[in-house]
Amino acid sequence: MIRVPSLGVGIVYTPGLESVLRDGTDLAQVVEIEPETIWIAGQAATQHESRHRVEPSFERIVRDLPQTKLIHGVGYPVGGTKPVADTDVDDLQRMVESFRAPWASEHLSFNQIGAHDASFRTGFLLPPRQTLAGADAAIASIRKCAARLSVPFAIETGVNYLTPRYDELPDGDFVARVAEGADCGILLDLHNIWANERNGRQSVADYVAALPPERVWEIHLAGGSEHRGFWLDSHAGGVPNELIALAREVISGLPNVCAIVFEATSLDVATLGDDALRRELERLAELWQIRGRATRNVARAKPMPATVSERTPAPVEWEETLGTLVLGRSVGTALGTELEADEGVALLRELVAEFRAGMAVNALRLSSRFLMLTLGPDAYRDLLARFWQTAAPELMTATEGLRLADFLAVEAPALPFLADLIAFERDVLLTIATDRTRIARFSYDPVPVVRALARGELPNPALVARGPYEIELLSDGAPATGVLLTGDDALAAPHSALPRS
Amino acid sequence: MVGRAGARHSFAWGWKMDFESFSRQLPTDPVPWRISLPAKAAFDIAAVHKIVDNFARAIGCEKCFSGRHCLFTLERDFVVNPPNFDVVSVGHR
Repeated sequence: MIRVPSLGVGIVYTPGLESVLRDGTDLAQVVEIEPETIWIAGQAATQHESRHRVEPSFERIVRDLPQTKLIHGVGYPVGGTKPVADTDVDDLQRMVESFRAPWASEHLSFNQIGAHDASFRTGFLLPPRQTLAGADAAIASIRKCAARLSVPFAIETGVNYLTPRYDELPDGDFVARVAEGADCGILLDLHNIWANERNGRQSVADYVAALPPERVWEIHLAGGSEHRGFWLDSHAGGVPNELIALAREVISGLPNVCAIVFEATSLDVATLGDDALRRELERLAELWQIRGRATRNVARAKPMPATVSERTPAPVEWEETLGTLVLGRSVGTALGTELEADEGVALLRELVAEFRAGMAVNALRLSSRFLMLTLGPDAYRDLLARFWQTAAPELMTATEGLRLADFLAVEAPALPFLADLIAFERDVLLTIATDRTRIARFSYDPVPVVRALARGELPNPALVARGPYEIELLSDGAPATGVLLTGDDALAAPHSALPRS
Repeated sequence: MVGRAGARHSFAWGWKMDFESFSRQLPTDPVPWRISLPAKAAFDIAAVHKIVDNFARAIGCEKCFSGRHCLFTLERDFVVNPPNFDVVSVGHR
C-alpha cells in the first residue's frame, strides 16, 4: 500500500488568504496549490503552452507560509484517452519540488480532444467514458503521469452533470477500478459526488462503498449553489450543514484520510471574510478528529460485473462528441443526438460560455468595458459568441486574451479609442508572458481614457488630447525610460505635468 | 438591470457625438509623451473598484470549480450601474 504522511486540515490557496494562513498551523496544517492558476504561460504567444513559470513574488509568499503544501493540478486531467504531455508533467514535478509537496493530484476527467496536431481544449473538465475501455485509457494516462513524478499521485473524483447511462459503470465502481488499476490514491471530493447524487446520479453512500477505502488519502469539501434545477459545484460559501453531516459518516469510515481541504473561489474568500473562513476550518478540524473511527463497520460493496461496459461508444468517440457539443457545436451521430437531448449538456454549454466570457473580461478588461459601454453588454456577448465559433477555448487566460485581441482587432466595430486599447492590452499580456519590456503606442492621451474605464465609465472625448503618446510596459525589474508610475499613480497622477521622453 | 439599458444607450449616443469633434482634432505635437509602468501594474490598472478587485485577476488557468463563472456578470453590472454596484447582488452562480 502506498503511504503518505498524515497532515491535517487546510484550504486551497488563493490570494487574500494570507492573514488566515499566517496565523500558524493550529487552524490549518495544509495549503493546497493549484499550480496552473498561478502559472504564466511563457510561450503564450505561440500555439504551444508547454512551459510555464511562476510569478516570483507569489512563489516566495506561498513558500513562506507555515503549512505543508500539496499540489493539485486543474489543467491537465488524467481521465481521458489523451495522456498528459511529458513537458506538462515535468512542470507539475517542478512545483512538487519547489513546494516540497508530499503528494500531488489531478482530476479523473478530460479537457482535450482531437488528433495530436489538431487537438483543442474543451474549456471545462468533462466526465470520462465510464466503461472498461475508458478505465483502461485512464489507467494508462495515470501511470504515465505518475511515473514522472517523485511523489505519490491521487485522482480526484469529478462532478458529472450528465444523466446516468445504461451502458456505463456506476460512478464509484469506475473510480475504484481506475485507482486499483493505476495503483494510485483517491482524492474524494465529497461536494462533487454529493452534487452528483442531488442531480440524479449514484448516491454518496453507494459511491463510497464501492471505493477501496485505504486509497482515499484526501477529502475535498466546498459549498455549492442551485441553477436551472442542478446543484452546481460552484464553491460558493461555506460547506452546507447537510454535507457536513454526510461527511461525518463517510470520513469516520475511511482509515487512511491524511488531509481534509476546503475549497472556495477567490470571490468567496473575499466575501466570507477571515472569521467565516476560520469557522470553516474549525468544522473541518472536527471531521479530522473522527476520521477512521468506524472503519470496522464498513464493508466494501461488490464491484459491478465487468461485462456491462463492453458496449459502444468507445472512449474516443465519447470524448470527441461530448467535447464538441459543450462548445455549442453539433455532432451528427447517434451519440451526438442522444447527448444533445441531455439537459446536462445544455448546462455544460452555458458553463463553458460563462467561463470564456469571464476569461475575456479578465484578460482584456479595458477593451471589454469599452465595448460593453458602447455596444451594450448583449451585443458584446454576441461578439464574443462569434469569436468562440472561430476559436476553441484556451487553458490559460492570457492565451485566450491574446486570441480574442487578434479577433477584436479585425472584427470589432471601428470605434474611437478601441484599436489602441486592444493593442495596449495585448502588449500587457505579451510583456508579462515574455518578460520583455514593450512600448504601447497611442494616438491620444491614454491616461484619461484608462482612468474613465477603470471607473466603469466611457471617456469624455473633450478631456482626451490627441497626439502621440506611449506607455512603456516594463518587465520585472526593468529600468524605466519614461516617468515611472505605479498602477494607482497612473490613475491619479496629473499626466499633464509629465515630462516628455 | 434590463431597464437601465435605454439610459446607457442614450449616454453612448451622446458620447459618440462628442467623439466627432474629437476626431477633427489634429495631432498638435509630434514628439510622443511617455510614461512607464510595470506590466503587472498595467494588468491591474482597471481594478480600482475594490469589490471587483477582490475577484483576483490571474492570467493563468481558472481555478478548480464547476459552477457558473460570474466575472462577466460582475463586469456587466459594474459598467451598467457603477454607483450602485453591489457584489452581493450577483449571487446566482
